[in-house]
Amino acid sequence: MKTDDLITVLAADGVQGRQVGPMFLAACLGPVLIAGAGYLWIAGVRPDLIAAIQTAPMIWKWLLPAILAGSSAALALLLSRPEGRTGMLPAILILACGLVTWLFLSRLRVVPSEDWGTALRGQTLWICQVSIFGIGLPALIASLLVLRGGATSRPTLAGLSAGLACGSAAAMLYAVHCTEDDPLFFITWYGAAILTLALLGALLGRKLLKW
Amino acid sequence: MEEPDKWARLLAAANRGDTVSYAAFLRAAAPVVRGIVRAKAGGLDPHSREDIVQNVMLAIHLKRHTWNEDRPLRPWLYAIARHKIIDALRRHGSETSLPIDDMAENIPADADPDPFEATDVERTIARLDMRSAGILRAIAFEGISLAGIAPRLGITEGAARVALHRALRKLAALRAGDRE
Repeated sequence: MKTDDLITVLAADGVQGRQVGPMFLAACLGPVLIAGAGYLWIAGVRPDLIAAIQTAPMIWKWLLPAILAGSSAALALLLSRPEGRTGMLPAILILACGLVTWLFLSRLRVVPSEDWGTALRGQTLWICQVSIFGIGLPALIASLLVLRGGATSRPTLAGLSAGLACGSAAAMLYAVHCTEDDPLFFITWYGAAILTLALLGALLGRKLLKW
Repeated sequence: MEEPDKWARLLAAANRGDTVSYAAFLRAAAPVVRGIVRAKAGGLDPHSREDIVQNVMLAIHLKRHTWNEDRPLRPWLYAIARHKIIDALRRHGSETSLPIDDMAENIPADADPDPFEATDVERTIARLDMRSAGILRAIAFEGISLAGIAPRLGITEGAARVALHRALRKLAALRAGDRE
């Protein structure tokens, strides 16, 4: 077939793909909000929520994932275009990781070293892992399916960003339930759950986001 | 820089449903794509290169909604070309590295109008289901419009529209899947 003939066929096809941006945000936020609301309805919000909101740990538990979610969602969207460059966003992500490390280390200096193990393990390690993963997973699947409609030149990185975004958003909702306020705990285990979703996103993205 | 502006106007109009502008855009872009492919995959024979050109055109078509009208069109188009060329070279087992990240602004458009038939696409169409293959061939070789195809298949024009789009998506998926 001549390329000119192919062009005739292409020009006859008026069906267009849909803009990725709005659908991606809906695919991230919708399932997280629904799954999160369902989770909180069953598992309950932390009893001291009103008092906790004014304390530093609760603010960190929202602020850190919020930064992560915002910048990684923006990154995934940027990368959904073929010519998408990452720009300043990785710098913001690195800054957020720096902030996390600083918070972690400064807590280590306060807690006596013989208590590190107890603080780190907490009481709800596995509940935390499974819950954040479960709240974030539907959103990750949905947002990857939406990103398939885009055209990324970096499938793995785009998938990783989507996983980070969904995992972080899920962690924010889980924080409404979780009473573990030691940064040693929530940085480690929220972080682990978010990273699990990010890695899953990278693996799936590598396959699903090819075009 | 007049050319890209013209392209952007054409594609913007196309995205609002102007099929004449769209055909004009694709016909203007094809020689440039051919030039890029020749520059970056010069080691391949002309037929294989034309296969790549067609893959790029197909990708431009199916991904045209990812171009943002507020952004320059050329980097978008180059990125798609680059993606598909790398893909094809990988399939051909070539180890040529492709520094077209900042692709030269002025790779010359290939002067020869559509010099070679691409052969791959025929093989791929043959692997499609009968109806999809029939639609593609009727439009490409007989110059029949969608409105003309619908009664042949005993379906509405709207259904033919959808069927054509599906056929093209399947075609692209099959061709991308050739690498496996």
